[in-house]
Amino acid sequence: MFRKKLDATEIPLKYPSEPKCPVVLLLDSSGSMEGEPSEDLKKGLKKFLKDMRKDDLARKRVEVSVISFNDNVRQIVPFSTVDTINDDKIVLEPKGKTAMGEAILMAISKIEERKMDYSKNGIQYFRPWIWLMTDGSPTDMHPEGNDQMKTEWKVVLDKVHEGVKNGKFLFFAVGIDEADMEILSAISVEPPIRMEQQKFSEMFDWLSKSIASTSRSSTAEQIKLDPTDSWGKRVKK
Amino acid sequence: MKNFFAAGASVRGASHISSNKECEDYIDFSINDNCCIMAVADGAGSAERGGAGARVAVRSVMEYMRERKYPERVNLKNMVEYARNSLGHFAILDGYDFKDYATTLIVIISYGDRIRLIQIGDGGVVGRRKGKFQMISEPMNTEYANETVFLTSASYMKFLRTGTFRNFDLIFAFTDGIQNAVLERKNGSYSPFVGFFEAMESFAVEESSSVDGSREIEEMLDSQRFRNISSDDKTFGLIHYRGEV
Repeated sequence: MFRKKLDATEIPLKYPSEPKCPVVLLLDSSGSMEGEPSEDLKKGLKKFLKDMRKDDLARKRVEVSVISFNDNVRQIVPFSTVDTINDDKIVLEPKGKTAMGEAILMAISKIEERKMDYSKNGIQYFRPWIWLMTDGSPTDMHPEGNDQMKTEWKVVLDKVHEGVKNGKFLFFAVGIDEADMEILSAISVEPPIRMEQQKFSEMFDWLSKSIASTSRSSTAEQIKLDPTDSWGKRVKK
Repeated sequence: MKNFFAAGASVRGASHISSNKECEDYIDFSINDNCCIMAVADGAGSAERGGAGARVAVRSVMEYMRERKYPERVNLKNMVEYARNSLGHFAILDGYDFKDYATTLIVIISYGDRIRLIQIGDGGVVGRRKGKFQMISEPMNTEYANETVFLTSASYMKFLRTGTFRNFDLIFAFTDGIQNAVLERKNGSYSPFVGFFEAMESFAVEESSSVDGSREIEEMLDSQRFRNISSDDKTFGLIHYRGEV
């Protein structure tokens, strides 16, 4: 019987688009970040993007969104692959208060929107990351604030805890220098990590590696993250 | 006596080639007078002994059938228990945790007119019934592309899929390494990407040597074209029932 040999170049395949790994960086740009902290953060962020661009898979798979918060909450960078992000567009302009609650809620709703886009377009995706960095304490929510702040506190806490528990996203909180670690402990399910200001570069180095290794994982994997000793200490809850 | 043809292969993906790691997919099959059995497994890359887990799971399933002399009636849940126990024995002997052997598992036993199926984890099974390709078993993915359930999961019973299907004369099984290139996903459910399975059809029904056929599959999976699909290990196998002789 004469049968043509299997020819891989002629077999129709449904070319899958790369699965996406959405990452939201939630950056404190309140007044206390002015000067050196903000400059160090910006430098670290640039290096982070540079490292991600060097990683073949991360470049195709990771989508970064940057949300900054002070008096206002702004999505400075919508979800974009690292190649398409213009570093110069990331302007933090530290001033004013710390609308952390509103920022967290925005991150969660942007992630939900993004997932819907993916699903609509048949794109597979990895569990999204929310990476919160602050050097202070929220001014728009607090367990011991006025009624409005108490209400907001409860809403944010419920959303984060419910989201993490149901696997909707991963949530990490980093407290810089004098940040209120007790507040971060309460918000984050994972122990928050305390970091000194001069460790931005090491932190972003760790973050780019961890995200890259997540984005490299194939189906049937759950990633374990490396210890954070190089840049910060986990605060026991 | 029933006449079956079967072939299949596993190849290392680019990520394991560059890191010099072994292939963590595994496939085996056996053709007998009354049935043909094929088992496919994908060891978890995140697990210390994922590759060994895949090998042990597949071999123990083959052993289960062989020791019972390829029975007409198989208790599929017992078979899964047997595979899990084998992983447990290996874990103790090698001094690892049970979960270090995390692997997916797909088993197909074809009796000709009837097939039995086991699936836990991702990958999938497609069959041809009355000339049409249909999904027999979908990938068990969670919401996320890189997360699935394993044979070693404590809650495996909750996810374990077993079943009996009739009138499929041609059956294909594959791991997640090629899953997204051979399946379409619409509104959350999977269907076969017909172009691919049609291209495999004449090969599947005309080839007569399992050795040659498996080698051709291996070359196909190892080709640049298939490497471009994903950097994962890849497995593809098929069974064709060719009637009584």
